Amino acid sequence: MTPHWYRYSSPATFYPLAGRMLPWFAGAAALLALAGLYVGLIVAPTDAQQGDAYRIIFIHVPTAWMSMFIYLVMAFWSALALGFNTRLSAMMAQALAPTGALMTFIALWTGAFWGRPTWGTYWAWDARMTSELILLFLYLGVIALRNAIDDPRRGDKACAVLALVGAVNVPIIYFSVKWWNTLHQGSTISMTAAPRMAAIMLVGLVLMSLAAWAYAIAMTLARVRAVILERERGAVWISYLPDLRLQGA
Amino acid sequence: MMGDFLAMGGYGWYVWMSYGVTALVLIGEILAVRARRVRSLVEARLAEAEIPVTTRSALDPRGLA
Repeated sequence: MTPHWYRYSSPATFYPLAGRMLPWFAGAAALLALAGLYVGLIVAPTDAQQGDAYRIIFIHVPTAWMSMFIYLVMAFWSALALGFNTRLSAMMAQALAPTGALMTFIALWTGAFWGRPTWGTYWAWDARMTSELILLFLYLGVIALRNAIDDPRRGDKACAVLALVGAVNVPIIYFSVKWWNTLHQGSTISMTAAPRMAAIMLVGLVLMSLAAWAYAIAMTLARVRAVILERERGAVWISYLPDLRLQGA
Repeated sequence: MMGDFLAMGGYGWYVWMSYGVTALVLIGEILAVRARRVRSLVEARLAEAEIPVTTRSALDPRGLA
C-alpha cells in the first residue's frame, strides 16, 4: 500500500495529526531535559580547565545547533510554499520562526555567560558570534515582515523569499570557526574524530540535544495548530472540530 | 552541600544566569503558545457563527456542528 503522504499536506488532515503527536514530543522533551539536567548539573564532574562554567555548554551547544537547524527547516518549508503554493508549508514556516528566534537568543545569551569567565568577555565581534546575531535578526525580520503584511498569502511569499535568501547565513555560521581565525573555538564534537570530552559530559550533551529537538518539534506542532485555526477560521471543516466544543480548551 | 551546588565553584552567577534565563524564555514561550491556542479557538467559534446556516445544515444534517 502506498502511503498517501500528500494527504497530510492539507491543514484539515494535519491539524488532528499534529494534536496526536504533540503530547509525545512534549513528554519526551520533559523527560530528556530532566535526565540531561541531572547528568549535566549533578553527575558530570567539574571540568579541569573551565571549572563549573563549562556546564553552560549543556544549554549553549544544543540551542545553537537548533537555531541553525530550525532555520534550514523553515527555509525548506518556505521553498515548498513558494514552489508548490501549498498553504500548510507556509504555515509550518510561520510556526517555526518564533521557536528558532528564541533558540538563537538562548544560544547568544548562554554564549555570553560562558564567554565571560572563559574568554574574559561577554561579547566580541567574532565571526561566529556576529553571524549568529545576524541569524537572530533574520528570524525577527521574517516575523516582522509577516506581521506587516495583511494578506496572509502575500505574507507567505515575502517571508519565504526572505527565509531562503537568509539561509546563506547558516553555512557561514557553521563554517566560520574554520574559515576565520576567530575567538570562538572550533567544534568539540566531530563525527570523524574521537570525542575530546569525557564520556559522561557527552551523554549530558546528547540528552540535552535530544530534549531541544523534542521541545522544538512540540512547540512547532502546538503553534502550527493555532496558526491553522487562525488562518482557516470560517472554513466548514473547522466547525466540525471537537476542539471547538470543549469548554475552556 | 546545597550551598556548594549553587556556588558552582565560584561560577554560580554565570551558570545560573544561563540556566535561569533559558528556563524563563521556555516557560514564556509555552505560556504564549497556550494563550494563542485559546485565542484562536475563541476566534474560530466566532467565525463559525458566520458560516451560512444552509451550508452547515447541508453538510451536517444531524446538526452536530
